[in-house]
Amino acid sequence: MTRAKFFIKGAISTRYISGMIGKHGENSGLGAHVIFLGQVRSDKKNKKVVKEIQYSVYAPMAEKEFQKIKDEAFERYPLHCLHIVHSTGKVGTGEISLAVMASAGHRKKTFEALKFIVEQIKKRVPIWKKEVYDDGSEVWIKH
Amino acid sequence: MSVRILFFGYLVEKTGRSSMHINNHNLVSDSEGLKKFLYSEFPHLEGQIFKIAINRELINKKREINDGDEVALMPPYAGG
Repeated sequence: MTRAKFFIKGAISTRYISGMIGKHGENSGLGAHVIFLGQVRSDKKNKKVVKEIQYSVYAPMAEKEFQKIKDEAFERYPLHCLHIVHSTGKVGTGEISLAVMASAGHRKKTFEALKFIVEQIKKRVPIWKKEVYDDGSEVWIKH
Repeated sequence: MSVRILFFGYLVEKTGRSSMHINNHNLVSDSEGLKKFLYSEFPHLEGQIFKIAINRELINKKREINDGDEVALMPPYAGG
């Protein structure tokens, strides 16, 4: 198995996402693809509006944790394929910063798997974000 | 050899840097010693919430730090 690649610099393009969907057509055993796309929201805070988010990651540890989550998802659910990609650096409002696509024979387990994977990513992967507002100010997000 | 320290998220602003090397390993021979050392170097760090990873493994109690280790100080994650 080739080494998984989990990060993309900047926003995840619709072209990338459509490519992710398109390459599964040849596998006729698949009955369900469930996709989660995380989008940068233009939240308003104290009259300021979020313009972009800057993501920073501890790449070697994050790659390892993504791989662990992937392995756990395959152990728990009857998945055929799983793709995870997260942005690093700047992503503007309305752009996509996280894409997860789980594919399997049937929808029910695929929905469950996707929920598990996204929650685990939020909880376990060392990624941080800083909101940049329309007035140029910046704030690190604490969850 | 030295101990490499990495800072992430808002800890970068608290310390004014994203990494540093500590050449005198005796100053930071375990995680508690490291915290003490960093709090004296960077007073703004004290009271901040962060986890520590040694060589990319999270620790949840006092651990030995060896010469050549990479130690990361990580505030709560905010991916997605």
